[in-house]
Amino acid sequence: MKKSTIILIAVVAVIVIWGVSAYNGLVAKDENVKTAWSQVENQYQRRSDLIPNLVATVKGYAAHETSTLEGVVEARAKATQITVDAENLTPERLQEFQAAQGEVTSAIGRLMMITENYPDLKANQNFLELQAQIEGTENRISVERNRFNEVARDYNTSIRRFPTSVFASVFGFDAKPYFEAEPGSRQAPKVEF
Amino acid sequence: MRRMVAIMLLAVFLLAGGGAGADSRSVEEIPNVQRSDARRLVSNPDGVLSERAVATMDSMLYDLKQRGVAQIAVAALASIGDADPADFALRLGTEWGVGGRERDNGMVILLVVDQRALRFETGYGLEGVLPDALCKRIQTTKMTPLLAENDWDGGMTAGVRAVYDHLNGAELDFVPQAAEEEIPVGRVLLLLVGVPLLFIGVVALGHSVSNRCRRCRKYGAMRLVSDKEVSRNAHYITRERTKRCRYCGYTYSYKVREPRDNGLGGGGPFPGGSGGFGGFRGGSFGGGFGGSFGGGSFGGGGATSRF
Repeated sequence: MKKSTIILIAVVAVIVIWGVSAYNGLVAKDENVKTAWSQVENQYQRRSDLIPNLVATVKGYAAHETSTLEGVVEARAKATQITVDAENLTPERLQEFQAAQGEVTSAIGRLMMITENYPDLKANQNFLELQAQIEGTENRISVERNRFNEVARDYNTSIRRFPTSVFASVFGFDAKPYFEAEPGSRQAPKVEF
Repeated sequence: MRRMVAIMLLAVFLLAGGGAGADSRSVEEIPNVQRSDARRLVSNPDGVLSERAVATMDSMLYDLKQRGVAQIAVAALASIGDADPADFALRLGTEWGVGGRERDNGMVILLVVDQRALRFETGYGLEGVLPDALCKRIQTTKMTPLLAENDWDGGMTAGVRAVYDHLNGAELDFVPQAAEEEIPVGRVLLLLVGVPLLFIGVVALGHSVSNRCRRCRKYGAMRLVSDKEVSRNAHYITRERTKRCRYCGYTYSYKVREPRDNGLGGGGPFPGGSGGFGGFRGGSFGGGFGGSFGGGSFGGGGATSRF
């Protein structure tokens, strides 16, 4: 065998080995994004599951606030229709998802606002627990969204870095979208003395 | 000259750093007292709490950590700047790695005086025993009434005690619960009767099979006739047992080795092991030694109250 052939084989072998490890790395990162996405969905689902109970409890005390109550139910119904498969996480789909879930957030916010006018409801143990659960879930949602953004950023960075980027485009690894910060969602209220 | 410039640059950096510190405090600045002494779990860098209150809480929290029930870190801070207490507690817990890596049984209790905020952050593994609603209830019934009157010691100690008692299985004397959920009587009865019966059945079956006579092939025929100690060392006692068949009189002997000092709890295969949780880590040597948390993770569970 000629010397040049041996060198050629060695170079090809190195490239193949590098390619396999780069591919596997991308697959692992892609999986991380999918896991993070399912966590996000879980937490939204958790909130969605709390809503019927919340609406029923509030209805017992404030039945005539129909428009606010229906607003919550409708927003939930719309949001449950929009599910995003982790396989095709496009910016449009994510935006749609986020918008629908954002509607639910603001509908719940309005509902919580009116409960301020019902002292009996505010004293109801069941309601207080539901309120704590809703708050906890909102917090979990924001934690999981941040984690999703982190792993998505990690993935996006690696598919855009030079040698891997060629590879990623050949094998169709697309960039993942991010959650946008919701206006005023994570700001600590100012406390004045 | 070059040195002068360097010093001036350094001073500028320090000043800039100090300026930033005034309106936001980073998680890394909060001292992790656990690292210097395994028996301490209350971080009180601003002297918000009295030494006595810190000691009271430390002893309860150390007990929970030592027994592997939960790793709970408390931080009482004068200010965290504009940071969100929930987010801060989450980052603190993650930075310190409060909770076991496998069980995620960590929790952070954070008091922020200037924001008048209280945050419980529960690790994934504690979300079941300390659900958000319960955290909130502990906060509003035990803590915020005292914290609202600036009684930091009283409020924090009462809260830690409530969590401690709850994790020890004690009922909390809260406002009476709203109507209990209906319990399916039939199913409970089935469980209460069925499970022990099944258990007895399995034991009996095991007994009759393992006591089968080797000569006459009858099940459950062998009876223990003697059981004497033949030797012992530091870890094991060796005993010789003799069994005789009650039908054909066939006898055989065998030796068993048992761990010593197995009188306490559970009887695991480890000498001196009192069963249950296996949470002994850095802190098991008594005082003075630095400890560590296990690297647990958090998912934003817990509750926040303002007072």
